Amino acid sequence: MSDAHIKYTADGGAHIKYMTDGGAIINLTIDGKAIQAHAGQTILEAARANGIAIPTLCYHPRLLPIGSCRLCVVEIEGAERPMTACTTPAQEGIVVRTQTERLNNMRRAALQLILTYHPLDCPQCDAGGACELQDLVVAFGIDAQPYHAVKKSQGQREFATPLIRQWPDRCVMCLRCIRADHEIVRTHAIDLIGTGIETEVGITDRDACISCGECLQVCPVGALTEHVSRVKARPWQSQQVTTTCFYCSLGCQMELTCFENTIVRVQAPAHSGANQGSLCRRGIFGYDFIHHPHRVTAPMIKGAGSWKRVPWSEALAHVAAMINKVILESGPDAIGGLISPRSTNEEVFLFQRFMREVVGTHSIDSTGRLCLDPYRQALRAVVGRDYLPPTLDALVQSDCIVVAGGDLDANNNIIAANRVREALWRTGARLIVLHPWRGRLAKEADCWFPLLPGDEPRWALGMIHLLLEHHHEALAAAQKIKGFPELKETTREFTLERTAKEIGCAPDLLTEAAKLLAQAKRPAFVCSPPLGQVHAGVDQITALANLALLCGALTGSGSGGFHWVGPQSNMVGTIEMGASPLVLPGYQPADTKGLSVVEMMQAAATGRLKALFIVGEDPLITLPRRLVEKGLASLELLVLQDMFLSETAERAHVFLPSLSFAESDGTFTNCEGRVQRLRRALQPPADLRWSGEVWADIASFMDKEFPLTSPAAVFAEITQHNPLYTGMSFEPTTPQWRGDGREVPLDKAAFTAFSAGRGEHDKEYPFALSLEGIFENHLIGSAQQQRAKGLAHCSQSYLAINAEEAQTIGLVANGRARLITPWGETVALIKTSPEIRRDALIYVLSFYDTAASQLLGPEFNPQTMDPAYAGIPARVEKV
Amino acid sequence: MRVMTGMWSFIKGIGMVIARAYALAKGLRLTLATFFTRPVTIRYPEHKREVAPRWRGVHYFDCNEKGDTRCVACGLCVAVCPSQCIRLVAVELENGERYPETYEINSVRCIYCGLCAEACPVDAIKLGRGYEFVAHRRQDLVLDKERLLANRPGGAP
Ligand code: SF4
Ligand code: SF4
Ligand code: SF4
Ligand code: SF4
Ligand code: SF4
Ligand code: FES
Repeated sequence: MSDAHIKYTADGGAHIKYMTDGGAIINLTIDGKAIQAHAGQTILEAARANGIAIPTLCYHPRLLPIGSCRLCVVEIEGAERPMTACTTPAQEGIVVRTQTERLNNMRRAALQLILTYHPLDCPQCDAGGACELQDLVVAFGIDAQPYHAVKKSQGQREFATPLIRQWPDRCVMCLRCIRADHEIVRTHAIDLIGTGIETEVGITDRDACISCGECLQVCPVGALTEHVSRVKARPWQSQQVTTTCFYCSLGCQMELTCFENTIVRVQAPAHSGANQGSLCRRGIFGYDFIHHPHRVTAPMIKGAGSWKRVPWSEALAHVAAMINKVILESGPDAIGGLISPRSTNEEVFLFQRFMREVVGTHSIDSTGRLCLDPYRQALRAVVGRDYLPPTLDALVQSDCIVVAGGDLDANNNIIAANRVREALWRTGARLIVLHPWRGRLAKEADCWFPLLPGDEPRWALGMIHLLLEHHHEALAAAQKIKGFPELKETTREFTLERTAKEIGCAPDLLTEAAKLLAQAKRPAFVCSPPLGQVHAGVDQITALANLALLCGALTGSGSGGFHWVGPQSNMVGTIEMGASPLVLPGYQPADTKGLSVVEMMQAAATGRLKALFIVGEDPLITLPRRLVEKGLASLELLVLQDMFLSETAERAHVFLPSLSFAESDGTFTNCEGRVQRLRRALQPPADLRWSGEVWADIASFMDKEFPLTSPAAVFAEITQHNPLYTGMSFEPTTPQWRGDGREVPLDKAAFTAFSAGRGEHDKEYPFALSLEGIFENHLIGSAQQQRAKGLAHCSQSYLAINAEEAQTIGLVANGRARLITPWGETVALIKTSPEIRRDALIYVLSFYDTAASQLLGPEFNPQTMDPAYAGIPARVEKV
Repeated sequence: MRVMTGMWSFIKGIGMVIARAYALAKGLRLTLATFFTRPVTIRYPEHKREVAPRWRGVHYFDCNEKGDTRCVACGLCVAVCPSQCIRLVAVELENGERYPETYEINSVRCIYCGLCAEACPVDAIKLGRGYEFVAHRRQDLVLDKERLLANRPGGAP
């Protein structure tokens, strides 16, 4: 390999350069065909790009070639011996032959050697029918192999994660799994162990494994098999449907393998979506909840404390009559709607129309808005727009990345690994991490600031002060931006010493970070919740956005960008379709503001709100519990539309079953604004209906006009009514993004004032608690009702606390402790670490813990009407 | 002339009678011959016909030492079956073995080509010698795992 092609890094790792920026054009001949290639491309890549097939086994397009299987041998004129095409760079004028008797004999011999130890296990093997080795053996017509050797059979065992099984006998030692683990996710959970003939793929660090399934996806044979679905299906028994992941807002493209209306496996198609072939554990292993036996398949009405199954017409007529009654008695404003940010754009668009036009209320909200609004409002203030252009790919080219908010590895390992670490290893980008806990990413960072949630504005002020004082020549462009003098004035007093003292970190660290940011040509910022979830969440993000604007991260193409990723698949689409009390579809301001979800609960408690229509949300476990309990208890009508009887369902009066993501058709808008399709892969259980039909029926029972349409027709309507979606197609052939502009017009950008105040420290509650992990399984089941069994295997809620603090309190690691906030308490599993800020607590939720919502306070941020999920005063006691 | 004409028609008449009698005798020959030989039909169902050695009749499952089917749910029979009448739900047991949780052959749609038996790598599915299957409902002619095991030459394990 030429140096131009691979970048070797300090730790011995390496990474292939993206082919898009290929070098000079060179000419060569392969099999008599004159072809062109980029300098730096290998012979194999050049051949494949020109439709010339060369057999391979250890090569994988996403991994660095190692040339070990020797199936790709080719003859090069003038070269003495055949060379491996996967590792030999193409060169000007070479003449290559790929199909000769000699080569095929070599290949056959190589395969026969592999088969020496390979069990004839195909009928029992999960890979049978989709196995690269099987295909090669058939292609080379091998029906016997002359070598004999005995090796003890090892059967199967648990791999680095319980969700993958390893069958060492079937391994062909291509090392693709190890390379994927080291080069893509960089977890180093697996490696070669043993020596000589005993060498095998082994687990070196089980705790490091994040169950991303990257190794499983690249294994060419059946040596690694997935262990979530009990049902297995051969390719000829199953169909594949490409759809969008419904968990988080990265919106990965995934392929569902369906057999007899059951999902038996999930894989990522190689080159589509933001994920480009990767998935996280939620996406690849978190599908089994769809087939959970607790799924509700018929409408139900509660009578005398128990649920009774009723026909659709009865349930919907009842809902319609009750809504009409409330409207008659208390007016439409006594009704509210709450829709899940995992609903499709089409559903949200119809639901807000239903609430606004049929019911006549603007009180419509979504928990997705709670996460997104602080970010949106901060952007409005700083760049004068509601969203930024799609730039996640720019992250890879960035040379200095600031990661703020939650632990990015846990929130979204695809951005952490395939973007941030890619930049670290590829361009040698510098990394600044703001998080109270020194996690895996923070350990790789140049600067780690153990900030308490809510201290980001002070940090930003301090950084701006330093930048202006010592690096103003690097910020020439920023001086023309509106608000610059005021910014300078405000930050004057935030001197190095003051900032360092206030946020509790070493002054040198601040100086170093300022230097890194000032030197960076393409700085980038990555934010994820709980950033924005403290009491002054908008200020938190505004502060960072000001800093980003100052150092040029927000100046359109060429900048690293200001990125945000949230925990729910369609949170962006949900707001853009108008599920917000503040804005109509397309961020058009609403004339009358409705109630936000927190206000709805308060209004319900005081009797002003009488009816609530909830679609796919479980507010009891996601919002301050006291508040929600009080609110729900006083409602006259609570309609819940969901797949399962959630915690909230106990308080509901009518339950309407809904479709799962695999049964739905529609679109999601991801965190970058990609509008992607959800395709129906499974037939819904008999009698289950699309929400659009359900609302149309309710409307007709209410004697109101409401169109009965299909998702495609609704999407067409959206393209008419939502200016951000004009001209889009429901079946696009190329990726499409909402909004038009790719460039951020700097003319509207302005440095904006923000407050850096911090709440008073309460002696009784010495810690600041943040809830993290809401990316994990949120809304598909609580800790008490784990519906994704696969994920339940590998995730568990815990409270992270500084080791010394734990000792002072008398807690033992892996023991239990009582976590108390002014509003509630719970008992949690303890994990200690010396590298957590002493006054910080991090409650990492896996499956939304029912107890967690008790810890939340009822006050909310007046700007976004968000309750606080971070910076919660707390204390810990022995159980 | 008139006498001559009378003679001719008389002779012609005789000839005709002879010819018809001959035809009758010829027609009856097989009947008469068979009348005195042993019947070819058998008294089914009291008596049953022996089928040819390579007869392909209703399927059965061969069983392993545990008495369960030998099938490892590889799905090859499903792939090869030209009339697509085999339904297999393969599961992976905790010990890693593949097992046919459901295995059904629709014996009405089957064309008894025997390709499934030929494809089976573990000789689990076989075509037996049985040819008697009648039922009032089509559904009853779908052979499931239990019935396939019961169809074994030795009967249910
Ligand atoms: S890995 Fe491939 S060749 Fe080996 S047993 Fe499985 S299907 Fe057969
Ligand atoms: S699942 Fe991911 S982290 Fe775990 S071993 Fe495989 S590649 Fe590594
Ligand atoms: S487990 Fe699979 S990917 Fe890993 S070395 Fe073996 S065959 Fe290759
Ligand atoms: S949860 Fe997010 S990161 Fe994981 S596969 Fe789904 S969309 Fe991708
Ligand atoms: S071919 Fe044999 S082992 Fe495979 S599924 Fe059919 S009956 Fe079972
Ligand atoms: S593919 Fe080139 S050596 Fe394996």
